[in-house]
Amino acid sequence: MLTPHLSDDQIQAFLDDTLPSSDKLSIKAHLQSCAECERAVASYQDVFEALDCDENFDLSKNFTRKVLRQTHKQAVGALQFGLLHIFFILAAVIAVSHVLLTYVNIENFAGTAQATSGAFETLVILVRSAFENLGDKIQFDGIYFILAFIGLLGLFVLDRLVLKPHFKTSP
Amino acid sequence: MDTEEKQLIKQILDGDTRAFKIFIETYRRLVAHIVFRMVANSADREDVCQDVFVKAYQNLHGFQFQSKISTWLARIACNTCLNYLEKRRLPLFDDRALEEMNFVSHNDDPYTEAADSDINRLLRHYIDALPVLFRAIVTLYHLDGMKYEEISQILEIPAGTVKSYLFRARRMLREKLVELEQEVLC
Ligand SMILES: [Zn+2]
Repeated sequence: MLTPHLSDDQIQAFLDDTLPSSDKLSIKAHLQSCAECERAVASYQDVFEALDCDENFDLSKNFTRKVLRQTHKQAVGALQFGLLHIFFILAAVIAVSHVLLTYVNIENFAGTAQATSGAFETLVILVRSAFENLGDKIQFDGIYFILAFIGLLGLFVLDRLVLKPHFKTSP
Repeated sequence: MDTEEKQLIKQILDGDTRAFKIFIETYRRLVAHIVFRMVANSADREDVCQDVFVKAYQNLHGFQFQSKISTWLARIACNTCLNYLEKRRLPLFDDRALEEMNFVSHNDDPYTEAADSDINRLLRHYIDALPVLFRAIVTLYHLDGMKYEEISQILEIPAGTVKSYLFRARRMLREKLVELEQEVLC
């Protein structure tokens, strides 16, 4: 009795070794008596061999080092970004406290604040007194620019001389 | 997921450079398989591989341990390659290309039949000409020993589709091989 030829999917599944053993046995039996299917299996075997071939996938020898260098560069970048944020927050705090301390009449304010109860009223008084004093006292405070410059220089030195060399050597 | 892998990831997240080095060494072959098969331009391949590991490093804190690390990393690699191809407007996948598969090699070094008659090398040349999704599937299945389910997670397509594409890709390669053999015989 003639058995039908093996289907394409049957041959592939046979070579993948995903068939139940009963199916495998009947396929093997068919292959012994059918040259056509045997040829089909042989050409599929060539295809599978080429697909399994793990050659020509080589990365350069210093690939790992290159990746490490890049991730460290990014880590340093993130740290610098963080430092910049800290600097701006500090600068803002200094600027605000400078304005308050210089232009707000503290004694006057303290006296008025005692007489009021709500937080909102206290804030209104604080802002109003700041503006009242602003007109009389506004002037160029050179010393604050110098201090800001020294602060920036300090951060720059910290970044270049301390952080960068540290991250460069760690990988 | 085994505890060794978990430990390694924890160490990387703690900033241990040596742990990340082990991570790269462990998975560089997997990443190279995917990238080399999906990116035709050999000059860009190593840069793309590098991008994959940098992205993995940046996103490691978000890794939920719900899949194997290799599945997660392979997904990053495939997506990085697809982004690369999209940016360069290189064709990703279309059915027309499938039907009338044009075996023009994307490889850099031009292959001449006269220069090389080795079937294996010839077939590898044809693998490079398969549609990109087929190339990804045959690579993950044959070179990295992944199951349909894993490949389905990586490429975000149903497992049944993975299987049918895998069989179709191999059939295309075999048909090409038979065609060639007949040409030689004539
Ligand atoms: Zn037969």
